[in-house]
Amino acid sequence: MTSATSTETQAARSTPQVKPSRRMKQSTREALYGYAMASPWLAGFLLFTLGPMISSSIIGLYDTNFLNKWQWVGLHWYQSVIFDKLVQKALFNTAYFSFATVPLNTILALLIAVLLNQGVRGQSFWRTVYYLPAVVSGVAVALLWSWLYEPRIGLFNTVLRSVGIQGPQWLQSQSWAMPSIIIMALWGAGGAMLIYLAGLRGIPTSLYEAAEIDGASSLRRFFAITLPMLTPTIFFNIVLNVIGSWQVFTQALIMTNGGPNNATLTAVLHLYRTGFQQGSFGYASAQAWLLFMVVLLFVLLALRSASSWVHYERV
Amino acid sequence: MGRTPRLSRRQFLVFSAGMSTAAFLAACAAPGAAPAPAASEGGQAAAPTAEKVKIEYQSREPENAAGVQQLWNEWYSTFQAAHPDIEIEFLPTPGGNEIEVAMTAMVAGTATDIYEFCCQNSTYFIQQGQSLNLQPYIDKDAAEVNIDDYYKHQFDPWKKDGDIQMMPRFTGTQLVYYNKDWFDKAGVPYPGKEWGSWNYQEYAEIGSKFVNADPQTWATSNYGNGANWLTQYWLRGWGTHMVNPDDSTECLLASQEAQECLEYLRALTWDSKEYVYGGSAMSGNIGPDVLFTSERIAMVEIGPWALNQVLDSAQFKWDVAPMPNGPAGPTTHQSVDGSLVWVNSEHPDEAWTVLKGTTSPEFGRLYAKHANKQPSRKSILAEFPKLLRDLDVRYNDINLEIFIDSLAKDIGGPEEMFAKDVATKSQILQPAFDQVMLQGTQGVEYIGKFADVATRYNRGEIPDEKLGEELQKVQ
Repeated sequence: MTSATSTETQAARSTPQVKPSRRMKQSTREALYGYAMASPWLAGFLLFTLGPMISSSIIGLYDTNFLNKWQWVGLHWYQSVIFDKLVQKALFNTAYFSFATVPLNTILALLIAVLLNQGVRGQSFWRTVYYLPAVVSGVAVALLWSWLYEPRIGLFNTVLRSVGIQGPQWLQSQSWAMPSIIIMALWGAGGAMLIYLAGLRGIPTSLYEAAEIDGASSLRRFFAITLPMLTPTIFFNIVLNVIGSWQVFTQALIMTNGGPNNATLTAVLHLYRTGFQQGSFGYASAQAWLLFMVVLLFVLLALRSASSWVHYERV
Repeated sequence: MGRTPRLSRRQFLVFSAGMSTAAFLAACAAPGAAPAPAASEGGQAAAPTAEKVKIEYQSREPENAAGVQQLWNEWYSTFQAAHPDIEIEFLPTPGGNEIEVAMTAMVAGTATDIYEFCCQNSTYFIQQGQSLNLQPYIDKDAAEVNIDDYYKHQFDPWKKDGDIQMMPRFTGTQLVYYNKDWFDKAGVPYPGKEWGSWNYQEYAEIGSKFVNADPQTWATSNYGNGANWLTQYWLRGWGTHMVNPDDSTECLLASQEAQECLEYLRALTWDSKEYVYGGSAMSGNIGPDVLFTSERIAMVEIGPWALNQVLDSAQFKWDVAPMPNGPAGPTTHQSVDGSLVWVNSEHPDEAWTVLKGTTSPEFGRLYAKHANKQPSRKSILAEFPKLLRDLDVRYNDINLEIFIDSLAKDIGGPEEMFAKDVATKSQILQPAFDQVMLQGTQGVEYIGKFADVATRYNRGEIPDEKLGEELQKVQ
């Protein structure tokens, strides 16, 4: 025992001691590096997102044009905004846009992705073709589609006329203006398609092989393997689409300027007008907060529902 | 052996927040920092001289706008010789929407000394109290400024409590450009060259001939007869107004004359289908100038700003004619293009000196010569046609004298502005105009119903948050 103890003591002496203080310094340094790498985003978030959010909540307590009027109104704007008929109209229009584009965009993007995943020839070419609209500037797209929708000389009505159909007035029509913008939004489904395509590539082929051995048809394979395995991607796209669709602005501003007769007046367009045309930035801020709450509500609903339909692979 | 970072997340977030706040404050403080003293070539501090004042001049023109560079180069050398103590920094348009860009700079305290604005944007900043009152300066330099050298209504949209807040840069007159080839083909005589030589009925009659000949085309257009200055010049032809000239809170669109005028415009659009609402969904967002040069319409109501483009693009013979008379007599629009001095300019006196320069007869001549802008001053109006013809001989075929005659005779007026102009036009009246003029789903009496809401809104009887409710009542 004595000799063993002595050997252990010697071994302990010969083994270099790990200096705790030095180790701590290194770990602190690593942590600092990590945070330093993340700090541009954090600083950006604090300065350009959280900061303005806090300021806008305070601005909402004032009647202000930012220039020469700062009058305290307390919660007046926050109370009024809920009962404002124009705000309600704008929210209704935006909800219409959102409830139409999110499902349609999801289905269309998924469909294209599945088709492109079938090993078609020139896949990269088709992928680029479908993705291209997603990288074109929103203003350019809006102007291009305005021409397509022109009732007399536009492409759509010209084609419809050639088969004996009298096309609608599209953007000029109160009932067709919003559907026109929705149809145009679907043209940009390529962005989501690319994400679905990546998701499809991540599904293990062994699952398909097993299903094939079991004699599952392609339709069955789609509903039993592809769709469930893709639900996390679908969920991700839906959340992004919901947020994006409630922020619709460019199309409404460029193509119709909210018209005709406020048929395409969206929530963001209305709050922009309240701020810059009416010079009422306090009220515009209150509207922005109402919109934020609405978007938050829908995102929370999506998150809440996720547990019942989104399937994550568990190891 | 898990590593325990010394810096907790909470500490880091606090640290980041602190750094961000410091950066934010530093950014805010930056404009206030004292400028570094200029060093001479030898590296020594320059000897004290009379301080040179820099005036920042925000133009509406892009840097490469036709003739603007030449104009400034030529004028600025003369100006500097006369005012060596003033340096002007010419800033081309930053793009985007003028109101938002200028307002952001004004809020941040970094606005330029002088702003060029047009149309309702100019009145917007006057109404927001952002323009320097120029009246004391005008009174001081009365002989040089010579207010009598401008047409009667030049300053109507630029007054606040009776005091002038802006000075004009140029004054474009709305005319009818017409395609002579189309007129020849249809066997229609050209319109007369004198103001008052044709009227609204003849205008519609001529237009119907073109539409009957080819139903796929329209006859005429402008930027759109909406809640704007385009409808306003027609209203004046019927002897009425959109905005009461004596009370900018009152909307007169429900008056009998206004209703008759609106019905004329509605019928031209929807019954005879002669008129296409330019730049709208109706025309595929194609502007009236392009509709004209691409031969989709035989006539277009537009100002002298389109001369250059039409001259270069039209592949047909064309000319200009006066606006047709309304039942109450001659009518037209005189453009609202002016410059203001920002109320918080640190150098208002020097800015006024610059403004005097840009409204001088010399500047007006150069503006016409290099950029085809129609002068505002009556004293140099007669030179406008010659300056253009010297520039391009093709102008010899165009009756440019028609532009200047209307100003000399005080025909027409500027855009009429409400007390709360932008919101009234875009949020109250435009949706009603949309239904009547753009969609053809309502009669003109529908617009009349909104006149009362517009008046009450401008008088402060309807707060912003109740506007939607009031609009719903009349819809």
